[in-house]
Amino acid sequence: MNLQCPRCGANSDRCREEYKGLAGDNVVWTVFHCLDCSFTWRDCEPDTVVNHGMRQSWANLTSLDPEIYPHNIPPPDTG
Amino acid sequence: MPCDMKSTLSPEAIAVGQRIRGLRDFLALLDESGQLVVWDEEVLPEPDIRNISVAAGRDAMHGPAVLINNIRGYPGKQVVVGVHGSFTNLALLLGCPKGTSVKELFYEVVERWGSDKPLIERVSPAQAPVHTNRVGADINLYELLPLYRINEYDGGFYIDKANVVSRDPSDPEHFGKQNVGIYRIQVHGPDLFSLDAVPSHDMGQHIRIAEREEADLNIAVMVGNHPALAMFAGTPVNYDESEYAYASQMMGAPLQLTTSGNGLDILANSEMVIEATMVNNERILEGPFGEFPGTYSGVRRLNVFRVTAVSFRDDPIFESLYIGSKSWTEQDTLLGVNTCAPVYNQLKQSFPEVVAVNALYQHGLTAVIAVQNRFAGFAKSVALRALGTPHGLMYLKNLIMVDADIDPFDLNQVIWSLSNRTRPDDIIVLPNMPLSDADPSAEVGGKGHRLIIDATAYMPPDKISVNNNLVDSPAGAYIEDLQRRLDGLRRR
Repeated sequence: MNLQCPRCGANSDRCREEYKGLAGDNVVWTVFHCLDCSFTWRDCEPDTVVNHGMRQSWANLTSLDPEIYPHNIPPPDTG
Repeated sequence: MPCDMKSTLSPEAIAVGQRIRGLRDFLALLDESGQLVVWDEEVLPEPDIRNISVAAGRDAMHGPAVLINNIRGYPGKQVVVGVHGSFTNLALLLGCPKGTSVKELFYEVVERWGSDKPLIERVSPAQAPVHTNRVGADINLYELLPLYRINEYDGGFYIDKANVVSRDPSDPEHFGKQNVGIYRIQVHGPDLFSLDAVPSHDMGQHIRIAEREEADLNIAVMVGNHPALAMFAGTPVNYDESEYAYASQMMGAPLQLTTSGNGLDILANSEMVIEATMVNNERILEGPFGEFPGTYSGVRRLNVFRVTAVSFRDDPIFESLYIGSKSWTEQDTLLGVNTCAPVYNQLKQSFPEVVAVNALYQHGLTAVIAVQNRFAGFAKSVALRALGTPHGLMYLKNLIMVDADIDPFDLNQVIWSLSNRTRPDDIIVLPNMPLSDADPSAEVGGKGHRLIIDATAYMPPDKISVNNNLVDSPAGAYIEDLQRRLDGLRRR
């Protein structure tokens, strides 16, 4: 499967299949979750959401360094 | 907080209080009142649920709730939006007529305000509807709930109207310190989610204590709830005060509580309760999420919770709300009046001259307080006190102080006051204060400046303009009668 995280561009081996939506016996969509950036998406969503190249650039993640993202509540050992 | 409640509620209010035991009872009441739409055409999870929610919420005074029951890929699942999506829906909950004004609702809630007379009815877990079905293994939230993306660039699927219960780990038996709050919840896996609490939230305190003391923090996420509790779960009451007590007192009727499998007090009639335990010292990337100012939050590192069990009624209804717009959304109608009331009551304890508080806009980022000046400069002192209330600590950014002759819910009068009673060199800016990190104007998340505009009339010893005598414009019943006569005489 040629799967890519829409937000951070991670490869398919970092995209976990979560759930398949059914209509009768037919699969009508599948939900995926990115193990790198925590993004979740449904493959039937508009391209502006699920196509990495068509998303607004600000909505994509260019760094997965956790240190650049603030804590709401820091763990005790980090103050 | 001392109760200043009406000695008697209206017969209509009593009847509603006795009737409503949970979400389903309220949906039936809304249906009978023409305030519920059942949407049974097939919809896609995205973007259809979002679009229907926005359309229903465009009329903040009269918009309906919408029960969506035919979602492609989620056979048999139901979502309801807009339950608190209009002031008329709130009026019906309080036993007031449709179309009751926001100002009237404010005083109605204020008169019922208090937590000293809780009305709680205990239901054994075996008898509680919420425990009709229970899953304790192989939990999959995607299978249990019709999860969907609320705004286009949200980081995932959110549960955004759940009422979350947690106890103070250092005082777990204290009923009042047991907190019920609304926090956005992002689902990160079949049995994993993050929760957006900050240190100023009561649950943020519980998280900090649990991690510091290496204690377990069990929580219960109630989905689809008694509509009064949903209002108070988002209300900034004091740390040791119970949201259950406030909600029951507002309704003048008991809330039915039972116990979750992990030992928390929960509503017996919720549609679903997700039991979970915090994974201490773990953080996960969360967001963005379209937040109440109408802007996206950033990506942050939030606490992680592992689901341990789920209880639910037959055919549970997933209650959700739309949030994220320059216009009012259900987030505003759900929390607006209940944001005004506690600030008013907390101020009133110190300053009985306070007449009304309008904190309806952007969760109070801009608020208007009407006060009878006791002496020159008095309103400024009241404003500073407002910043020290539980909600003021993080949310009251721009405060406009007006005189008691100004209706703070009438923006025409507020602007009149700004135009006529404000001296532009007499404003206060308090720099670098704590502030909600949802404020999109902040340079640094969690910090920002506060603005106090004193738009009350000057009085001695300040110098007063000689041209400030008010025109006594004709008003009252005679003018209203004349207006009706003129309307009747118009050519049609």
